[in-house]
Amino acid sequence: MNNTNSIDLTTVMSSAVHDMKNSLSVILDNLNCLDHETNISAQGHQALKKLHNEGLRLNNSFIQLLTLYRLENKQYFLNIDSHNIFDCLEETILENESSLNQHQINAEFSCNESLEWFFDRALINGILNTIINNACRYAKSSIQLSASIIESQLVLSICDDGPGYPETLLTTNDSFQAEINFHSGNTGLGLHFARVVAQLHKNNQQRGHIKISNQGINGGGKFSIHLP
Amino acid sequence: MGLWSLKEKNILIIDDFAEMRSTIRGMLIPYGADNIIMASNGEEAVELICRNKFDVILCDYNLGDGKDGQQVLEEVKLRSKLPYSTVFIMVTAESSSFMVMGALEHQPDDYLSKPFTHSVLQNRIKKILDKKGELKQLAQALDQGNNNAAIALCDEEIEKSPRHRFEFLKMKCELLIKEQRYDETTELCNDVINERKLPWANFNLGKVMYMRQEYQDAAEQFDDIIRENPTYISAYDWLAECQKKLQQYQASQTTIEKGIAQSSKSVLRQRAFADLAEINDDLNSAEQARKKVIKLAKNSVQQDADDYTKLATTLIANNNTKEALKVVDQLKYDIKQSPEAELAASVAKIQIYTDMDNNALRQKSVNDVINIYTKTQLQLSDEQSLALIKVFLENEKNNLADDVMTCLIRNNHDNQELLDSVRKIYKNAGMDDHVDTIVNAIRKEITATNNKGVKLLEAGDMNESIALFRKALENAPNNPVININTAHAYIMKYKDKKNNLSLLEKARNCLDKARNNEKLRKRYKVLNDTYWNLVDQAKNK
Repeated sequence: MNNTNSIDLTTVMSSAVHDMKNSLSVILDNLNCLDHETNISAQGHQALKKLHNEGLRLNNSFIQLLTLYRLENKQYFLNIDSHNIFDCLEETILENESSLNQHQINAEFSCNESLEWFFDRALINGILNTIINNACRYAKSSIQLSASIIESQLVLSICDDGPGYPETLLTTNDSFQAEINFHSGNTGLGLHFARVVAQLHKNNQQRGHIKISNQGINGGGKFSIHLP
Repeated sequence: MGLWSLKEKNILIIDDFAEMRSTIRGMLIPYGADNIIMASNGEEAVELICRNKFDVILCDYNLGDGKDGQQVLEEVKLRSKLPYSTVFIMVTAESSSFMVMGALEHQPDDYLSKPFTHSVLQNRIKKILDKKGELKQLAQALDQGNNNAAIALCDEEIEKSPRHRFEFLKMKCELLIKEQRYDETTELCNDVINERKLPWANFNLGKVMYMRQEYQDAAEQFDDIIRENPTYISAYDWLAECQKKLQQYQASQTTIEKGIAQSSKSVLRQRAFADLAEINDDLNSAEQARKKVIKLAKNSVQQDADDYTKLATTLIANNNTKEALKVVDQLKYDIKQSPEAELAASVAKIQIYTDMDNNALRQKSVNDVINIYTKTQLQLSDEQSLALIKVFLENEKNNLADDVMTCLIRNNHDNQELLDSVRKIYKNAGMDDHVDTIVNAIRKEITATNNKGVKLLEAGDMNESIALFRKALENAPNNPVININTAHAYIMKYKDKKNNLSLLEKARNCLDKARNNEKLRKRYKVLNDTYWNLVDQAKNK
């Protein structure tokens, strides 16, 4: 009984999320149109930007929820192709430019320009967006992205200069429950998604994984994803 | 905003939503874009692209009822209206990025999924424009169809360990297949797979197996790809082709059906499905699918009179002669000023009126067919020729039948499959001896001509040889063997007197007619390589 109820609930939730995502697209499109109006004050534009940034954050979360649901129901299949990492990192920063500006955070990245690696771009992009979004909320003034090959795995790292991850999160590295904190707004979705996606990337009997630590800038948070 | 600008760039935005069009336009204006044209549907977009040269095209994948973005891309590429220098970016909704489009025959330069910001959009455009700006030679080779030069240029890029090495490897791989350089294709794919198991490498391995007629192995290859990623749409098309060759017609139809479930607007996919449904006597599916083909192909390069006549045949079999007549009239309306289409329509009408037992109208249609055939210069497909032979034999116009047949055999004297079909039609009319006599005579005559021409060539008498082959081509303009020999003669003559570039042009035309012949593959490759070497030398002079 309990079991069938929970299955129904996920299905209901997923179709609801799909619908919410469509509504959100309409909102985002209209925000864009509003932004082009001439009779809006500077303050108004500021507020619109904020709305737009929150909208993109919401959109990213919706996509992650839907992807998790589709993965679970074997409706999403990994689309592995080669990608230039420099381009990916550069684009991630451009994508989050508005959020970074809003929080007055400086973002830098370092990576060999001809580095190519193999992964599902849409999924990895979703992870990077979430981590940067979170870093925006916690970092004081800067975040750094970097990429390199270590022991034939691609390691993508994002460091910030914020207070770092709470101790509970670092010690119970694999527990999803430990991350959920309704008061702080940390739903655990981002890290859970990152962990699931990393593990889906396999090569030569190796699986991808993520690592979090407080070895960021001045003891700030550091998130790394390792892809074989 | 830095130094880069979209000033004076011709930009086309294609989207069915007015808001989206103006949003994208608004994103580009800050970057200096001052020449933006918009289209609200696929048909309009194709018109615009065919009439203008754009630097940047942003096309939404989903365009409502008509053509989708992929069809727009296909149409303009098939019409050779999209030079390599044009940046074509396909904008997709998150939900359509499920489909793996990386193996489709016609690909855009990039996919961009919604929602995106203005900085991401300009960054993508800038990157591709910069990249293409650096690849002028490659662009030229690709636009000219000089695939071998393009392959060499890909190699140069790969050597430089570029930012997108795999992109060049993939491009090279696809060009190698076009040039039928299968050994090298296999080697390249295996090298890539050793580095990383990328689906496109497995996919192209499968294609090479198919080309080599190893249909069972190819089928397994495509099956594997689908098992790992059921959204790899092109693998269904190729698996279905393999199954068809293996005479697994039911399985083939099921396979295409799965592909259609994911992407239904491809003319080729729907046509393949309709053909199989006909083979499998699944007449309802055949009718539905053929109607879709006609609708999808309307006003495009892929429009084909055969689709209408096949639909008419299916409708007759479904006891719907009335609609069959309508379809035939539709054919004349849709494909105007084409004697071939008129002929096809009249042939179909004979069948319809026979079925309706209407002798007077039947006879009128027969007369129409005879009239069109005897009074116009026609370019008939093999299938149309076969249908025509049948009509003439059935109506005791044996001379006309022989006329069509002779022409068909002259152009295909080496094609056993076609010879068998011809023989079957004559056998049904009780005239197999008759056809054998004619066929043997033609084969003998063409073989003799070929031998004589080649001998003249070996003796160094290029002019005599060319004269002989040109005369032979008058009666058999599409015969691949004569064409390849003629090309050889032109090339020899050019080598002798290097000043006459028109000889090379003539050789090219002949080579193109021999290109797809399996038996001539090796000879084609040698001559084609020689041809491009000579073109290069002429250019460098």
